[in-house]
Amino acid sequence: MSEAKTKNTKNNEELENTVPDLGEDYDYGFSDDVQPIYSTGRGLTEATVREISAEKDEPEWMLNYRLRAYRTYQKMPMPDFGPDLSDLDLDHMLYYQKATDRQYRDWEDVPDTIKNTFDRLGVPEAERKYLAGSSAQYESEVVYHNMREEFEKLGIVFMSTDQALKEYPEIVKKYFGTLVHMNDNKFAALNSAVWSGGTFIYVPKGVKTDIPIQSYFRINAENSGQFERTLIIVDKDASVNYVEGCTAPNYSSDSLHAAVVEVFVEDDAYCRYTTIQNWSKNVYSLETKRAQAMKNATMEWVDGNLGSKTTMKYPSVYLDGEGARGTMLSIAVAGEGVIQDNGARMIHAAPNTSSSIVSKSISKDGGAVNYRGTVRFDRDSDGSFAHVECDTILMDERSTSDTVPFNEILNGNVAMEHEAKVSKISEEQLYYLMSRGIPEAKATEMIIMGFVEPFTKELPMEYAVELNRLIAYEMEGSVG
Amino acid sequence: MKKQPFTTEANLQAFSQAHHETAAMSAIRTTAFQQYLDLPLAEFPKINYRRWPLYEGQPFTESSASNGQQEPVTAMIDQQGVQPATIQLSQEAQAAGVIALDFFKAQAQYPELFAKYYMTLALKADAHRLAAYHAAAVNSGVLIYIPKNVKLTEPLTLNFQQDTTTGQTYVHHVLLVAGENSDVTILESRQSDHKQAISANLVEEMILERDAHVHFTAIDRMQTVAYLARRAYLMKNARLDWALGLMNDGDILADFNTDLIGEGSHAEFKAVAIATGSQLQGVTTRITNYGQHTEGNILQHGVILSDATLIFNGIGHIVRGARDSDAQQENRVLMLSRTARGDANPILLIDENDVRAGHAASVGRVDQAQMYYLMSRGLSKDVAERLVIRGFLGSVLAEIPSTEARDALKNTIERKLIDGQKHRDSAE
Repeated sequence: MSEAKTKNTKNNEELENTVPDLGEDYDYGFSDDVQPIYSTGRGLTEATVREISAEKDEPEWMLNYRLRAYRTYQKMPMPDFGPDLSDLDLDHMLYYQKATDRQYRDWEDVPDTIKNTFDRLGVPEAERKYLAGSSAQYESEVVYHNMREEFEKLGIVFMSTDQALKEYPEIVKKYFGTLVHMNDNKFAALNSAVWSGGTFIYVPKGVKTDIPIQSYFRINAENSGQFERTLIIVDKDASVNYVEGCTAPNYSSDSLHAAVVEVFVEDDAYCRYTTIQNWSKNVYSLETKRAQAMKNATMEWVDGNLGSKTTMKYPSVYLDGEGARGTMLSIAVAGEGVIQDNGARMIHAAPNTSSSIVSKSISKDGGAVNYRGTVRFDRDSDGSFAHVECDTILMDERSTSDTVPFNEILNGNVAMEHEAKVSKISEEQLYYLMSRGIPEAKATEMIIMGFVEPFTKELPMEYAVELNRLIAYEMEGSVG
Repeated sequence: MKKQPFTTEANLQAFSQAHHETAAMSAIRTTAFQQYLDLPLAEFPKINYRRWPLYEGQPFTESSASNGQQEPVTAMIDQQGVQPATIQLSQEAQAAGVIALDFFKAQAQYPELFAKYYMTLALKADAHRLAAYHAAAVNSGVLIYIPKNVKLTEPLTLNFQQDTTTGQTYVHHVLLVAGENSDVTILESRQSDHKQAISANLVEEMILERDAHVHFTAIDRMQTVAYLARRAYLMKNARLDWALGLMNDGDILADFNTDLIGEGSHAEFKAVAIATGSQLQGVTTRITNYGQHTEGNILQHGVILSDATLIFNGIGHIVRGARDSDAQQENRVLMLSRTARGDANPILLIDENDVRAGHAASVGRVDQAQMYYLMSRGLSKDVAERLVIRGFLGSVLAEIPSTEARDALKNTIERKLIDGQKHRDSAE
């Protein structure tokens, strides 16, 4: 026993030598002493909902929508599946906090304390280097957004959803809440009642961009609820590549992130939506993400889930147009005390549609990582095809994994394949590497990197590097 | 609104007394009766059977009890409806001390076996409403006990037929206990004569003691609405080979469960199913690895015609501590109609890392190239289709050890397919 321990420690030292830039703990766990200029205080009542709407000076229909959603939220039960949410204290949350009195376009104008946060997270640097546009949301409001002129000239609209409600009310009204109805689930109802911030993107017909547009979401205060609302419309034959990142400070009490994302991909259009979620281990991330793909359109979700206390997220694609295509490529890493309950839903509702789900999961130190997904072929899905692949590695005996896929086939003229595997680190691979003189910890890391590579290679270069670093950090000390 | 119980406690006790039940068995019945309406429904993923008439009907009507003594010629058990079982034991089985008895006789003669194994391990009487209803209403069944070290060379055939003409609900129990180091092959056939608005609640419990080996083959041709539970409990190094042909015509809620309790126990589960007409066959097959070095494999192939629905839930569950265990499953569904519905839900629940677990599932239609080839050789569409299906089911059929059982299943498949095609062609 003690011998094993010595060996383990030694290997960790070696690991640190090979990967010198690993931090001591969660890198983004710091918090800033930013006093919000406006807050609705703790708890949620109808008055809070009215207050948020009034503060935002919203049109009547949105206030009514919020109020209906609030009543729906009160009536709806908690999810009857998946992780236990009984520790989530919804009465003690801060539902709306505004840190600045306006949005900034110039990074230099952002108040120092907040700027400092995002500087430490590397946000402005990323923008300078490789982004077409970038925004940053701090608590409930977007504090900064900017897009390069060349993209603005193409007619791409990129702003906070609040701002879009003011500047493009007809577009927002046409699409808002039509894909994710307020009564979809309790947390979608909650978001619909108290939503704030989030990203609005409209890409006009035929406009294509390869360079990503990024949003960064940061929770700062303790017991905060962040309810961003994202609406993306990719018009016919257009394309967009959207990336979002999320972090929060370490606190002893819990915060809640309950986003709703709706993506409309019109005929022949393309959308890739990449998320790197790295919440601190006191954040419940309960999200509803849904896309609709029309004729010959492609929707791709790329979803990386590293942190949080409990994540429940099952992005879906409604393949509503003939020849539409939907994909989900995801990784999830669950460490101590973490429950990652993720998956995807592909709904084939038109002929000749195709979908692919590739899910890679790693569970360690008693974490739980689950795949929960649905592939459904409706009556009119003749000639459609689906492929699902779930691979899980359990690093130690305390960790667990459930794979719960539902494949519902209502059409006889389709094909579906599903494969899944759960195992520990391959001893054969480990033995091979160690026989070549590579220490166990490094060998383990190499195997894990190989395992997640199909995912990282799909990320923009800078994200891939960052993700590899995060995974290496997560894996530290996991051999033994 | 609280549901009305299916009978009164007085009727229940009168039935129990009329059948000379032991006090212990009578108590199990009464307790289950008092509990059943308050117990939750059994949960089977994606199968909604709430409206099925599974707790209604009258199981305790009078039936003429004729109990002729038989000549022991072959190893055969035959039971018509709720009549006492006709049992013929071969000389080999008799000499070996095999016990095969009608349910009511058995509980009087072997109370200790019932105390130990009847609805205590494989399916607990208070597990859910279906189980409790069964314990309260059971009106027929058999006990089979294979003593320690007995290895039977001849298969034991069981033939159970539901009699729907009496209008009586059929609540049937099979308790099979395979003693230490025993070896037996069971060939079971279940059917009901007519399609009637009447239900059946069928529970088979199999207890495999250490090193026991059971080959269990069954062909089901139920026409009634039925809950069909086959539940096995395996002790150390026991092995169970399942081969099931689900050729039912009624709506079926199948609950096939294997608990690999003892270290080194092993279950191979193979099933083929054909769904035709507008029926629903909901099949939940679960193997749970509790012991170390246990292995559980599920292979299910299904074919769906017309407007029928077939749901395959495969659940492989490895609990913490079941080190060096293996759980694999494969669910394949072939759809022969645009309006058919087929679900293949392969679920893995893994709480231990030193394991090998995997699953594969697929749903697809008949290979058009194969069809084209066969039809270009002059075969009709229906015949070509049946040939392709036979090929699809062949990998499971080939696993059935007994030629007799394999042929019986092949014939049943052929008949069921012809009926299904007829039904389809007349609808078109």
